[in-house]
Amino acid sequence: MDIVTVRHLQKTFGKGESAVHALNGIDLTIEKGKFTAIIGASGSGKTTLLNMIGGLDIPDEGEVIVDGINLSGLKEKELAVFRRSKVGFVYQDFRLVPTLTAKENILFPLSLAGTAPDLAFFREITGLLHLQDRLDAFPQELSGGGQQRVAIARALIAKPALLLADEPTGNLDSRSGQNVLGLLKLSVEACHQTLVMITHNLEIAQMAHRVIRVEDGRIHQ
Amino acid sequence: MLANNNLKACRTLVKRDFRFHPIKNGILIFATMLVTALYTFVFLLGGSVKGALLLKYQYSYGSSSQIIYTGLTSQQADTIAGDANVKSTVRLCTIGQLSDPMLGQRLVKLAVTGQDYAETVLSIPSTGNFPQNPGEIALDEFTMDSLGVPRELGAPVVLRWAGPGGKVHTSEFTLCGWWASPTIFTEACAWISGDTARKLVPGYQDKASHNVALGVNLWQPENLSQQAASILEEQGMAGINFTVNLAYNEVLKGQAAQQAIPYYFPSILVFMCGYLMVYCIAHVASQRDIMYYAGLKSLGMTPRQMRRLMLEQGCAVSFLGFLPGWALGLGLDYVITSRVISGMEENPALYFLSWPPFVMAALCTLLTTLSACLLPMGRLCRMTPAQAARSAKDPMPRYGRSPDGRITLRGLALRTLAQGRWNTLLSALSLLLAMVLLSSVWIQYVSLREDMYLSLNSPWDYSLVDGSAYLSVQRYNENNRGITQETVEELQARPEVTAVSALKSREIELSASKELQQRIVDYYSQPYDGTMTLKETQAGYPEWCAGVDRLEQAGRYMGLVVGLEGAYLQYVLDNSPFTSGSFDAAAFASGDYVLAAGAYREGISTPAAGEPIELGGRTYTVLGSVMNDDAYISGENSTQAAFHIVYILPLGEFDTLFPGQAYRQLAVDIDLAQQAAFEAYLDHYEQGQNQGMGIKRRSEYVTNFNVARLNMVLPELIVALVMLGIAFINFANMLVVKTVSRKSDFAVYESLGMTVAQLRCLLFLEGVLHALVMILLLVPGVVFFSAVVMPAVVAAEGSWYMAYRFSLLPLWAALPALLALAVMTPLVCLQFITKGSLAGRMRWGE
Repeated sequence: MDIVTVRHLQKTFGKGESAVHALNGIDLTIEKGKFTAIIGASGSGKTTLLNMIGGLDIPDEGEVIVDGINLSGLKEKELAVFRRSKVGFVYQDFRLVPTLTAKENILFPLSLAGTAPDLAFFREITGLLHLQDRLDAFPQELSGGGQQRVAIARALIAKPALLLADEPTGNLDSRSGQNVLGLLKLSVEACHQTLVMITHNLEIAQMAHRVIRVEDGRIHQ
Repeated sequence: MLANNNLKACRTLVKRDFRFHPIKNGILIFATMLVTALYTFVFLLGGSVKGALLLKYQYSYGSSSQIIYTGLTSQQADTIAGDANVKSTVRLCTIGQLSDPMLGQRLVKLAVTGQDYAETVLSIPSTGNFPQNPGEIALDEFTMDSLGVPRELGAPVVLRWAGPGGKVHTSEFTLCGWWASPTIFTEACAWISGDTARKLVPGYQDKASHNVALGVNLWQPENLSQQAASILEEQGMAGINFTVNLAYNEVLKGQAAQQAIPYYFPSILVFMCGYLMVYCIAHVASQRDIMYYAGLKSLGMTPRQMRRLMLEQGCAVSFLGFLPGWALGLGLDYVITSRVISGMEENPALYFLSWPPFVMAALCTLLTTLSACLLPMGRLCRMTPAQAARSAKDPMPRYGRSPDGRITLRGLALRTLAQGRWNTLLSALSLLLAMVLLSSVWIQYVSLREDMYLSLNSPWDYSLVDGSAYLSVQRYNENNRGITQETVEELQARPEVTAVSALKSREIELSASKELQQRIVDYYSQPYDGTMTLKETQAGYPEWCAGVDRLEQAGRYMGLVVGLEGAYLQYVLDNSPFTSGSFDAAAFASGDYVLAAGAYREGISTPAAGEPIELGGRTYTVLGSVMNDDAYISGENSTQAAFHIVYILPLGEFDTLFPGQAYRQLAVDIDLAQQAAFEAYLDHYEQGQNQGMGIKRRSEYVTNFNVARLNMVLPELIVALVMLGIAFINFANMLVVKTVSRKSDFAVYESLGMTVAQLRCLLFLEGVLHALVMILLLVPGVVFFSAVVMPAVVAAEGSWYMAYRFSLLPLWAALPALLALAVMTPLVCLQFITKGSLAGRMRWGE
């Protein structure tokens, strides 16, 4: 069963001679519960594709359907609720809220939604990600690996159907990167989630159920 | 790697900084513009005040010439005019000097009309013209009023004047013109024609006559007395009389500079506040800048290069702020200076315009800006790149963490507030400083009390005064008829008038009893302060001392008999404390009693209550003696009456004693609802029928008071308002930077599911919290300053019409503006930073 369906997706940045065609009519489906890796050279359109799937950007043409929701027809507020409930993001540079502690960062999506956290689940993922002892620390007090683990926990806490990760190990050393990746896979499997990850690392890509290569805004499977 | 001597790179970096950070640099330029404007305004105003004081001295001197030589022959005048040091001369031929005692201390030359000379002494007839026919004379209004000459062309003028040998003559002339001269004491002229002069002093044009006055201007107007004397010595004419223009007197120049110093004081405030403002604006962007400078340091930039970088940046924003700042400062000066310096036809801002204040303003702005920019840079220069990078991270406080890990929008807003707390504190400090300054100015303004001022200066609505007693330096001419019985009756008949009170006076020679003689001698022999007696305190008034000596030796003294009624009597009773006896209205009205008024000090310096006194051949009983507050009597008495005792009678009794004595002054009260009609009547009277009567209006005192009150605080008020403006801009800038710099953070929030409404609510809460912090710091600070510090400040001012009044009006007016700014600024910014896709916004700043 597909959780993501992308049809004829097109996106161009800039105008005239400086126009960059980031996506050139992409058609794609992603199966639920699987780990999909997106690879490609810099500027090939990977991040743009991921942003379209996560509802962070709007395509010029085409449509994106996630878990049965067509994002093209959603208003700004509906998109916010979609991101809050259906998608979890993990960024290369973590993007934690610097004024919140690790615990507050993790629970931030639930705070925004006004829903009570599932404390057992919270304990489960913080335990899984080895964050129990660092929950009161602010992001600047954590190492890069620690910050990324917090970011993963934050992405998982709302139990989203889809987890989108943009080079989550890009800012980490190889050992921390392996750890984070292992934890990410473990978490996704434990929560029965779908993981779509951008990576430059072919070793990581080989761990995925499926690898999608993006070149010049097109898919090369 | 940058070479240590490579400073060109700094200029490139400065140019790029302007290109990539236009908002920060725009605000800095705006701040330096305002600082330049304030300095320019303060220095121009100070210069204008000094110039105006010197001009006043020049007016007091009575001539725009720098030196005036008198008693020259025409040949001597030619010799002086030909001296190499002399730039220009004007010449006057005098035939004598008016010697009428009614002129008091004024010296008025009787001279043949000289147009050039008349221009330098501001004595050109504004009504009529210069004398052209034999027997004609042109006078200034002060002279006319003192002599009782009516303001009618063709009116007869009888003058006593002293000729070249000191012989006194009395001559008759016909009035052909007059002018309102600012000249009060010296260098006043009475113009006659050459024909008239020949008749009065035949041969006055002889080459040997020492009757030429020469007004001289020098090429180098410094040390005028020395130059004037050396010119005479060089030309072999030592001993010739000369006077030097007071405006060029070194002592008076120093005095004028000293009096103008308070007008320069606001420049200290401008420096303090300007420094704080520029520092705040520079500091708001510091987190980003510190990382930038840390990066530059890691590339090998030396402390010298970093200082140079900041120096060039400071210079660049200063130079860009100079031109608009000068223009704004000049504009402020143009509007404000004409209010501070009144009475000039030309706008004093333009009259006294000069370039040094602009240069001073530029230098001071540069000093302010560079010191504000270099201080943080000095700190940065002492750090290693890693230390600098670490200092950019604002550590979060350890308190206020939510126990369950869930964060509300209010909690998130509080965290944001804590994150930039040093900037918030600096912003609050600059606001507090500006508010304290504004409150100080405001409290000084409201503490200047109109009621106290008017109670002394204009106890009644209008004073109508005989022309010879209009000014306090004018000697009252008892023979004048400026105010007639018809005038009084006409006033009483006016529907607007509610009361007319009259005052007449007459000086008479009196004999003192032995007892009174001894009492007065004892009174003035009492110690004043342990170092001198009361009499010795008056040593500067020889006529007064002569009067006391005459009383002591001959038992003779001058009495000033004053007949009064209504408001004048009430004024005496209200303001002159009794030293013996008390007031009995029925007894006073009977005409058998008088009030004796002496020195304003404890003790009896007059006949005491119950004692008899003979005035004009009739014996009265003294009802009481009072300490005389004579502020209600206009004009000056004769020099013979410098020492006198005042005897106050009811007006009717005075008329019986001195029938036919004219009015010295009238006090008129009106129904204020009909003020406009009465003012129109007085205007009409002044323009058409005035025969030598001066009118003092309470409305003018009110206007003058209000203008003077505003003028007293205006320079500080302008500075305070601009400072408050800069503080508001700084506060808004802090909010803008705080909001805009989190553009990508907000995109992250949205990516995590925050709706735009929640974002808006978050920023609204942040604004409210910022406003609350400001209010929590401002209100106690300003209240404390206003309630505790300002009473002492007002007391130290020592002005008799100043009484401390508590007011927080500026604070209450500023707080809503502050709240609106705090709430609106982030929300307005949000409109701009939420444009575009989330992905694009998240990439912002990378």
